[in-house]
Amino acid sequence: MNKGRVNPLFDDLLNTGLLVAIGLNSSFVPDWLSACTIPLWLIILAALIFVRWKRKSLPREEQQDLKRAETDERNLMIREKAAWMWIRVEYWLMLGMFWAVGVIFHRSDIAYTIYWISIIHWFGLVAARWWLSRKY
Amino acid sequence: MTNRIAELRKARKISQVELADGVDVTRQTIISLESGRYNASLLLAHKIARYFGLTIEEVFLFEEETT
Repeated sequence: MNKGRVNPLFDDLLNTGLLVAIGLNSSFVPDWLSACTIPLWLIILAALIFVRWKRKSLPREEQQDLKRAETDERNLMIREKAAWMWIRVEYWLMLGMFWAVGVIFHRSDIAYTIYWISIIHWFGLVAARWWLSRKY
Repeated sequence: MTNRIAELRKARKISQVELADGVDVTRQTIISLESGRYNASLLLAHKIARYFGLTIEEVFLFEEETT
């Protein structure tokens, strides 16, 4: 088993890069900033093609190792803990942003957008927990 | 909870990679189990015990907390 190739974190990192690149290419982003993201797009695209090619060319045994890394119970536990830890951090960040945008910058429109995103986020979380508690 | 995975593995001259392959987890999980940083699920504990031909109690040692 080659440890370097079996890393579920790399996929998450690529997804994050893709999300950043999409966000920075939106119509309301200044042109100079969008232009800066072209190298980022190219790097991510090259990485995606390389990873896809590399994984297809791996021997059968190493492909099984990759599949195993995705379903490994420790990796899944780490992913769940990371998600839950970040949700709690995000809660306070959103509250802080709501307060800063509303009170310091007096942008109630943005503040209430943050507020509703937070509310939907938490209702979504509660709903998902309720549904899973019924299932298990 | 402590375990005898490292001891049993070394006694049988089995590598971490071989054990990981045998119980369908990554080598990193075996390393974490052996160092006591991670506790196996019941399913994985069962797989490991079966791999060594022992019972779960013979591999994993449950220590009741005394208050």
